[in-house]
Parts: sequence; structure tokens; C-alpha cells
Amino acid sequence: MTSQTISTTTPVDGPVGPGIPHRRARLAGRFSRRFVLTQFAGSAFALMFVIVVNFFLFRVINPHPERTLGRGKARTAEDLEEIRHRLGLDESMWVQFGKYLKQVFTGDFGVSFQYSKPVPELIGERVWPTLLLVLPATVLSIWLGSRLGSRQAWKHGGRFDRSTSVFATVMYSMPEWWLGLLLFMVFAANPVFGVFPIGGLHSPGVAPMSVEGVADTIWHLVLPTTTLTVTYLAEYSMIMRSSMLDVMGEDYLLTGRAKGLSDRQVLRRHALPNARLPLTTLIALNLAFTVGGAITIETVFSIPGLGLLTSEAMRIPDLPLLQALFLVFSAAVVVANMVANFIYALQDPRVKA
Amino acid sequence: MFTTSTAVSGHRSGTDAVASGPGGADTPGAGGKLTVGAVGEVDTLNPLTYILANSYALIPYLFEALTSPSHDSLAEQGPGLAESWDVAADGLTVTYHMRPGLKWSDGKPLTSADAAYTLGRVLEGGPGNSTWGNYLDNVKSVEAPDDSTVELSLGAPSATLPKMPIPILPKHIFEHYPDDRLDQYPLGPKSLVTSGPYRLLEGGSGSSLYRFEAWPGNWRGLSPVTYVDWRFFKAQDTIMQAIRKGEIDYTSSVNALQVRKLKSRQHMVANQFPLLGNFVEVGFNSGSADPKTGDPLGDPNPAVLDPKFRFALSTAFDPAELSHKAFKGGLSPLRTIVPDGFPDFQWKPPADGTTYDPKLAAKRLDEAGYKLNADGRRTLPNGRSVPRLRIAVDASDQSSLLATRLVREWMQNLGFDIKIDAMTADKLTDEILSGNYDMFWWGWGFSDDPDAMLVYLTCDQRSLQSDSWYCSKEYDDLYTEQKNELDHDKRVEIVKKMQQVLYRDAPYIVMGQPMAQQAYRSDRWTGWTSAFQPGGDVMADVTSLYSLRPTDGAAQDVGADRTARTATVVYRSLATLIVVWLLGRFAVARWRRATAEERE
Repeated sequence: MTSQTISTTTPVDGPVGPGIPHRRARLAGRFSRRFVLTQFAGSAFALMFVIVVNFFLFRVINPHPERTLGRGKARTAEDLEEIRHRLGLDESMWVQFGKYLKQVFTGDFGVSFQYSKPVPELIGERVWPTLLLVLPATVLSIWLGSRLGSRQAWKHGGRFDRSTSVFATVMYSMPEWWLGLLLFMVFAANPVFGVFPIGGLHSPGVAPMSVEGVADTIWHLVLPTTTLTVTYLAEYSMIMRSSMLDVMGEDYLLTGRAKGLSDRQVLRRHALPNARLPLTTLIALNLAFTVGGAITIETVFSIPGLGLLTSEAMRIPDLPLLQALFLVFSAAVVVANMVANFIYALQDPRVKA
Repeated sequence: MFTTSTAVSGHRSGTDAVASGPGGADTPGAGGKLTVGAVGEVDTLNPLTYILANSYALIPYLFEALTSPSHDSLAEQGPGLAESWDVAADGLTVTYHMRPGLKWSDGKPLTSADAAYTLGRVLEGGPGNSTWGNYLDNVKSVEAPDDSTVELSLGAPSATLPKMPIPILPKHIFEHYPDDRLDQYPLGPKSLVTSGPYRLLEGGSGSSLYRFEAWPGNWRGLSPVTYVDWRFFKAQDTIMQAIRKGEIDYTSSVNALQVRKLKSRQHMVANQFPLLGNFVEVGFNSGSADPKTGDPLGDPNPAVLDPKFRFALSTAFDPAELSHKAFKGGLSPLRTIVPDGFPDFQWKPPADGTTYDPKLAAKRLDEAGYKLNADGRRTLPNGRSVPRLRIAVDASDQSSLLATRLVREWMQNLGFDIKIDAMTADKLTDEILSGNYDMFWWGWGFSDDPDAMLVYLTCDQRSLQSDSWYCSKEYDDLYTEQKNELDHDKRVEIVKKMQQVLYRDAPYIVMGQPMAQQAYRSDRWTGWTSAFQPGGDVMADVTSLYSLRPTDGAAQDVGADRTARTATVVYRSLATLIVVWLLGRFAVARWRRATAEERE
């Protein structure tokens, strides 16, 4: 156990020399070739599986999007056939699948049935609101959650631990849209305290890229970001607290104290690095899932992100858009999972084999 | 809840449209910013490919048509780009005379060549045809003999002409975008060439904000409302708060309960009115079959295939309770497929056949052979139990869900076993067109002319727009007759006969006309005028904008809104606090270091 602690807190010796970047040498030494190959092969296989499932899944759910698109419009069989032809649905399933594969590998995901616009363009427009919403919330919640959880565990049983644990449990069990609605009613809709805007990402008449526009966008993001931060934070703090409590009984902390380290040094150098291991996986997976957007928060605060785009696409179903969106979401999970494995290996050398 | 053939809107009359004369408002440019709030989104502003009703609402801001809606009546139309028109005595030629001096927003002249190109493109087929083709029924060709004349040649008379609300597109732009490249058509604010009373300043597919600026080149002149912002929200509750707080000036996306709450607020007008051209119905599978081969399709319950069974249920459902419990009072009485808005054409069914009377329904069922057995269950005329009925409904609409629960209860009271199949709207469409249903709850909405709805019950519409699979030669013959009848009174009589046939065969049991709700602020704008009916929608068409006048508050509010100003104030305060905090920390750190050094 002691060796594990040392390996995570002190640099590993590697082929460091003139002309060899130190960091690269260090990383290279961390991972075995087999480990790297396994990770990439596993991720590639998962992605291929997702690509195939994506194509068939939505066609099974509703094989006739032209019927939805033609409702109230197509009055002749020719009209309906024209829609099918325009959308490429009149071709055989295998031809459609071949075209889909070509689109996936060329990055051209076709044209949205509903928006009549290239899919990459649509996703490109909607990804920014989602990132603006979920990235700050995720970073803030990780930072605050891990600090809160470690402090709770470090002084477990105390007043701080008890009160914040209750807070975390309440927040974790609360649906995020409900918290969002509460904050919305108090700080947006209320005539006295409602200083924040009702919804959207920026005010009409304000250039989004101007200084005033950036400030205005941040102002619009305060409530939704706070909502997401508080709900995510609860999860991180609970995991961190539990993990820290496991670590706190270990002998190497006692050793650290015996050799004269302060409480703070023991916490930072020995307890935290080991307690962070389970958090790494959680962060990586959560980061990936947040790419899908926080659809309920997007609804409450009227933010046109990827979550709402997905829900709109499901109505038709808008096959090209859904295929691309789910590929993006799945790829995010697969890549995040792979990155988490590498980080895990960095933090815990036993994994690298 | 409703699938609209074209979203409810209307057409404006020439007298209203030019109320302030060419040159528009008497105070040009004086207007401020009007903010409209709506639920949902806009899929595209391309008039050929749009799907959603919100898109249909915005397109008239940007594109003009040969004729435009009457502000007074949904059934009438007035001038648009065309100031007059002639219909030949035999009804086989319709000629539109366009205004002189029309132009596009890029300065190019707008002539009959643009109109002929647009109508010709719709006529040719493609996405434009499925969107607008019904206005060109019976039209064989479109010509532009000179710069201001558009001539339609017809194979048979069409009763719906000369109404022509198809948005006219700029030929010099659109001809570079054939149907397979329509997705590349430039719809951005900088590149969009338009002819409507407004120019697009901001907004794209699915945006939460669309900004429009009044354009003086429009034939109506400059609108007194300089800026119109359309903000799209995702929930009705949010809109309710937005109008209470003053972030928006108008919305029609509130429900009956919210209207009651908003009514009591100062400077707020809130009301509800019949949603013209709309109705909700219990529909039946009247006989799903492959239209080409005639082979049965799907698995309908044998009972619903019988017109006597369907007719017997005409008095089984209580519209008043539906309105009260499912629509919060937002359903007005209607028992035929021609709703308010087309009073001439509306046929009133006999009172004893439409009022809620479960005993009469039970009697008619008995007479039709659907008798109660010892278990209290209804049997088919052949003596076997009626299999479990299914009623399909769009799961996303709360009122529809509540309505189907009431229908289930009434059907159970009559001795039927029935279950609700709630599903997404796209799935509902798919199930109906596959014939895998017995009954459904849904609604239709249309504008312009009852023909748009009447056609959906013809035999040709099976597997297309017909959701009841209804087919009757008698009805079809009447439909063709009315379509070719140019005499209004004679046509009205034929349309009434068609409604009687539908009442007898009951592919639909119409349950009512939904009410629309609106709320608007009277402290920022004056001159709100209702379109199509007294107390009706004050933003149903762009004509309504020309009667609006800003109060002092709205006139000054043309730049950044209050939210942005609040943000600026708060940021300055925050910046000040941060600077003070940093200075404080720096001072404390210096003091601590000094005292530590002293201790050493």
C-alpha cells in the first residue's frame, strides 16, 4: 500500500534525457502497449456497434417519418412518394445503410428532415448553448463537490458533516427541473427577488459577442448553471465523502502523521489522491452524459441546446439528425470512458497492465 | 394537440391593409419594440419546406402573396401583391393584376415573373407542392404575359380561387436552388431576400429569438412597430411569468386557467375565443384497406366498421363535461366538421341527435344489434362479445389524455371494454395509416376554406390524409360538385349536404371547437385590434401590427432590454465588490506577514 501511495505522489523515473520531453517519457512509461491497444480496440468496437445500432434503432421505432412530415400536407400518393424520395426513404434498407456509413465516415450526416438544414450545421449551432450551460456547472460541481466531500469526511460526525450531508442528500434526491423551477419562481419570476431573466441565452437587441453581450449571457446562465451545479455537486460530494472515509483508516496516513506532516499535508498529499480514484470514473462518465444536455433545465430556462434538439427530432423522427446526435452522445461516452481508464491508470499504476 | 393543414391564420382585407395608406403608419418609424412570446420553435423560414405552425406565423412577416387574408373574416381574402383579379365566366382562367413598383429587399423589381415562377414551381411538384399544392387544384399552367399580370389556366373551375396565399419567392435567388439543393438556400438575416413588411435581423432554425425590423419597401408602407421580437419558450408557465414580468407584450400560449389569473392584473388584457377553423373529434376506423387492392389493412374492431354503431355513439359523450374537465372550460360547442369562421357553410345537426343522451345511445345500440348480455357486456349483432376497443391518443397533450379517460368511462357505462393507447403523435399517425386502431381522439385545424377539410374524407385520401379510412361515393360526388361550383349559394348547399352524409355515417363524432387564449399588455401598446371575430386574436396577421401605437415606454425601448440593463448594473456592482474584496485580502495578507516577521 505504501508503494501505491508513493507512486501516485512522486514522479516515476523514466528515460528522461536531452531532447526527450519529460512529460511524454513519463506517460509512455505509465502504459503498457497491451493496455493502450486494448483501450483503443475496445472503444473502436463500441463505436462500431453504436454506429450500426443507431441506424436500425430509429427505423424500428417508427419506420415511416414521411407520414408525420406529410400529415396535413401530402394530398396525393405522388406527394407522399415525393417526400419519401426527397428523404431517401424510397431506397432499399441496405442502400440507405451504405449511404449512412459513408456519411458517418465523411462527417457529412445529411440534411435534417425537419429543419431542411445540414445536420452538422444544426448540431454546431446547438452545441454551444449546451456547453455554456453544462461545462461551467460540471467544473464548478466537481471542484466544490470534491472539496465539500473531503472536508465532510475529514471531520466526519461533526456539525459541518451532518448539516452538509443532509443538504447533499436532499439535493441529490431532488429532480433537477424541480430545483430549477424553484429558483426560477423566486429569482426570475418573483416581482421582488426576480432580478434574473425569464429565459433564453441573451437579451433581444444585445450583440452576443460584445462585452455587454457576454455579460448578458452570463447573467442569463446564472440560474440554470446554479441549478445544475447544486444537483451535480451533491453527487460528487457524497462519493468523495464515502471514498475519503475508506481511505482515512489506511496505515499510510498514520505514517504520514508520524513523520511529522501537518494534517493539511496528510490530506492533500496522501488522502486526496487515493480518494479521487472512484471520482475519476464518475466525472468522466458524467462529463460524457452532460453532452446530451440537461433537457429539463433547457426546458425550464428555454435554452435551445442539444437536449431539446433531440426531443424535437424524436417527434418526426428526424432520422439523419437523430443518428448524428446519438452518435455524438455515444462517442462522448465511449471516449470519456477511455480517457477515464487512462487517467485511472495514471492514478493507480496497478491498472496499467 | 392539433395537426394543422395550414396553421390557423387569416387573410387581411384590402381596406384594412391599407388603412394608413401607402406609406403606412401616420407616424412612420415612431414605433418601439413589440415582444411576442410563444411556445415551441420555428423549423425553417423557407416557405416551401416549413412544417411547424410557428414557422407559418412568421413567414408573412417576410414574404408577400398575391392575395392576403381579410382582417375581418377567415373565409374572405383581400389584395396582396395583386391589387385586383378577374375570374373568367367559365371559371377556367383567373388573372391577377399586380401593383406597380413592387420590389424585393435587395432592390430588385418584384414582378409577375416572380409570381409565375413560384406558382409554376409549386405546380411542378416537389416540396412546394405538398405544402401549397392544394391552392392550385385544377390549375394546368401559370403564365406571366407582362410584368404585372399573372394568368392561371384551369382544367376545371375551382371554387377556392382566386384565393392565392402562396408566398411569392424571389426568382433571381430561388432559381439557383432546385429542390435537391433547397437545404442550402440562404436563410440568414444578411442574405435573406424578402418582400414582407419586415426584414429578419436575427434568428435561424430552432432559435429562441427572432428579431424583425420594419421595412419601408413593402406595399403597405412602413409599419408603426419598428421592431418585432418573437421569443420562443419551452413551457406555458414560463410564458405566463414572462408576460407578468413585462418581458413580453403579447402571447397566445397561455391556457384558460392562466387567462383567469392574468385578467385581474393591471394593464393586462386576457381573454379566450373560439379557435376558428379547428375542431376535436372522436374518430373511428371506418374500414382500413389497401386503396389499390382493396384488401383489409390492420386489425380494426368489427364494431367500429359499422356506421350504425358509430352513429349510435353520437349522443354517448358529453361535450359540456369534456369542456369542463378536460379543457378547463376551453371547448365551445360544435358538432360538425365545418367550425366557426365559415358560418355560411356550417350545417347544424338536429338537437336530439347531438345532445348528451346515454339512454338514447344505448337504445340505438340495441336497435343496431349491439345488445347487452348477462354479464352486462355488449355483443356484436352475431351474438359474440364486442372485442376490447382501443382508443388511441397523443400522449403529449394533457387535454386529449383527460378527454379519452372520460370517453373510456362513458363507453364502459354503455357496456364496452375499452383501453386507452397513448402514444407520440408520430406513432399515432403511423398506427392510423397502418389501420391498427379502433378509435382515436385528435383534432384538425385549417384556414381559408372548408374545402381543405372536406377533401380529407374523400376516398382518394385513404392512406394519405384520411385518418378514418372513410369512403363514400355519395360524399365523393358531392365533393367534386362543390369544388367545381362557382356559385357561392349553390356551393353552400352542397357542402351542407356533405355534412349530413358525414353525420349519418359518423366517421367522426365532432366533440367541439377548442378555445384559443391570449394575453397582452395595454400599458406599452395601444390600438390592439382583433382579427376575424370580435374579441379574437389581436396578432393573427400582420395587418394587426399596422393599427398599433407605442406608448412612451415602448417607443423608447428599441435597444437592449431591461434584462441586459439589469445585468450591466449588477456586473458593475459585482466588479466593485470583487475589487474591494481583493484589496481587503491584500491588506490582510500584508498585515499578517508583517506581524509574523515581528514575531520572528
